[in-house]
Amino acid sequence: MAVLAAAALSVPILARSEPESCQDCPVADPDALPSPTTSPPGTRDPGPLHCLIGSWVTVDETMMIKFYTDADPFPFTTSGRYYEFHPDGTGVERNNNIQMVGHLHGNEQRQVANGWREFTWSATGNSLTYLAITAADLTYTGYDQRGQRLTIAEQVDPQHNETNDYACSGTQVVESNSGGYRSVWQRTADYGVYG
Amino acid sequence: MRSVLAVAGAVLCAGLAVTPAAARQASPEEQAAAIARPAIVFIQSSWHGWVRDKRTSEVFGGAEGYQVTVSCSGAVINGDGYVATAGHCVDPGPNGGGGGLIDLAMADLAAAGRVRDPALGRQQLVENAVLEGAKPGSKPTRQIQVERATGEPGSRSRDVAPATVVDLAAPTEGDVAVLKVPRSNLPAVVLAGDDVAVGTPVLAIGYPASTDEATDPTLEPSSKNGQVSNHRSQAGHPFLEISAAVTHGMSGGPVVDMRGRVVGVISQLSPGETQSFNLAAAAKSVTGLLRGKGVEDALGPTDRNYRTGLEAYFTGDYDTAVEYLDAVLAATPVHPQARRYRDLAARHGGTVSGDGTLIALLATCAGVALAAGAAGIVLAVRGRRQRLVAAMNAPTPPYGFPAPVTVVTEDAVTEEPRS
Repeated sequence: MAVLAAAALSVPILARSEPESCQDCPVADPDALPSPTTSPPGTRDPGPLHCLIGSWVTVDETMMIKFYTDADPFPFTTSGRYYEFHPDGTGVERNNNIQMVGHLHGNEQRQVANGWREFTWSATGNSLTYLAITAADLTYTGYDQRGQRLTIAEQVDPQHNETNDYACSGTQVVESNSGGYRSVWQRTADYGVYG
Repeated sequence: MRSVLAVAGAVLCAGLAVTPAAARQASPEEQAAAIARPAIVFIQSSWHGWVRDKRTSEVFGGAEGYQVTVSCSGAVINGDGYVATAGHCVDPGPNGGGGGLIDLAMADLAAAGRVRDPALGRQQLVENAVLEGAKPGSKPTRQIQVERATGEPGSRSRDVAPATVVDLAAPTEGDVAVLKVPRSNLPAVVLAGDDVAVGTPVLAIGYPASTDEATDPTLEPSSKNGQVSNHRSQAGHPFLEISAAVTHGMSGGPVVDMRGRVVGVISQLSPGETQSFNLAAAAKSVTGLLRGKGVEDALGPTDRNYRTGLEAYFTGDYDTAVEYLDAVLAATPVHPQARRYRDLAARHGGTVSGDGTLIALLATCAGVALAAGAAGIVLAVRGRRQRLVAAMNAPTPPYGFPAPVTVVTEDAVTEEPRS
């Protein structure tokens, strides 16, 4: 009986487990553990400004045109010219019977543009340069009180280098220069717009 | 009389061995959280890169590129540094964390007046975007770091480790990932091995970004309770619909059952749903990744000691709780939850295992038991002998118990009974 008692009382001790040993568990020096490292981020050519990229239609333009050989340039107004500025630095201008209208000495002068021209461009924050006219099928025909006077065809011009000021505010561009040119463009959804 | 003393001692010892202190009632959720929380980690994934529209080659990101950091949660599933999280937390694609680069490009486009319908616009960009690094055609850089608390609850002490992606199932292919950090002996949880039944109570655990914005920074994860509402699939990949509330930042955190086993990985909210119809990638998707890499989810000795210590604590066996949790802390000094429950157990009267009190008490009981047994044998032998002697030299004491029962030390166990 006593032996049974001894055996029974021994059970809790024999059955009772100990915490598992973790002697083999690696204990690392916290200071020696690898920490995240950072390498300097790379950079890239920023490319053209995103605001100019897209398609535009002029809504209010004033430009100085030398209409007569024996008179100084005088202002013409128009609207409806179409532009596309592509991110690869190319662009296109389309004119579909665009009427530029001026007045001199009480008479109306008109210059009518039809056709397209392709160009290359670059821009900084407030300066837009048309680098070259790379292709064109564009004519300007002049009229005055006497009727049609002259038709001029646009020529390819690799050294065009026309620089204007510009300000782009999302859906509108205002382009201008010191020679009296000022053009307001409105963005269209034809190109460069998402959604 | 000495036999009575021995019996009384045995009863006392038996009582001590089987009667724990009064246990504090803990909910299953509290116990599950206590098991799982040490394994929860905070994950930050950072991308640096540019977005190129392959239709036009327009590159967004300027000279410096975009930098995006995404916060997620995760769980250690093998103490050797393996962490389970959601695929979208580390996936560089447009539907994963890299989608942040898309969002920044969309913001630039919107500022430039080039977005008409934001949702449709993003979809168009996602369909046509290529995410690149500094060199055209290179991949964006991705840096992942895994953080875990190493100090007392509420402290800001943390261990930050770099992580690599062991394997990844994209968001559209199961939405799970396994990371590796150069650490060992980390507290871990295991994956539930079988399908979890609809109606099973679960906890979703992670780091809600919205709460972190409103409160002091902490690495204490949040636990939200609920249940498995349904089994779902996305493109054939298994998901669990859960009723536990989850929010941004908890992505990748584990969904655990009441035994603290991972049944899912927090993945996504149901689109357009304001109530808790949330989706967790089924744990079997993680198992699939692990199997493919020859890795197993596993508990180490420290995890098992922690669980035993917790179980003891929750059943009111505070001595055992202290003993096992001390063992955890000896192996893993930075184990805030073990520290917390060890201190709670001690506060409830659990004694420090290192002072030998429990061992001495149990040894004493063993001594009593063995001595009682030995004495019984001696008594039987002696009784027979005395009966023989009595027949020759009466009178003799009817009973004798020569073993020094009042000196019950460990030595008494091996002391030769005097005849």
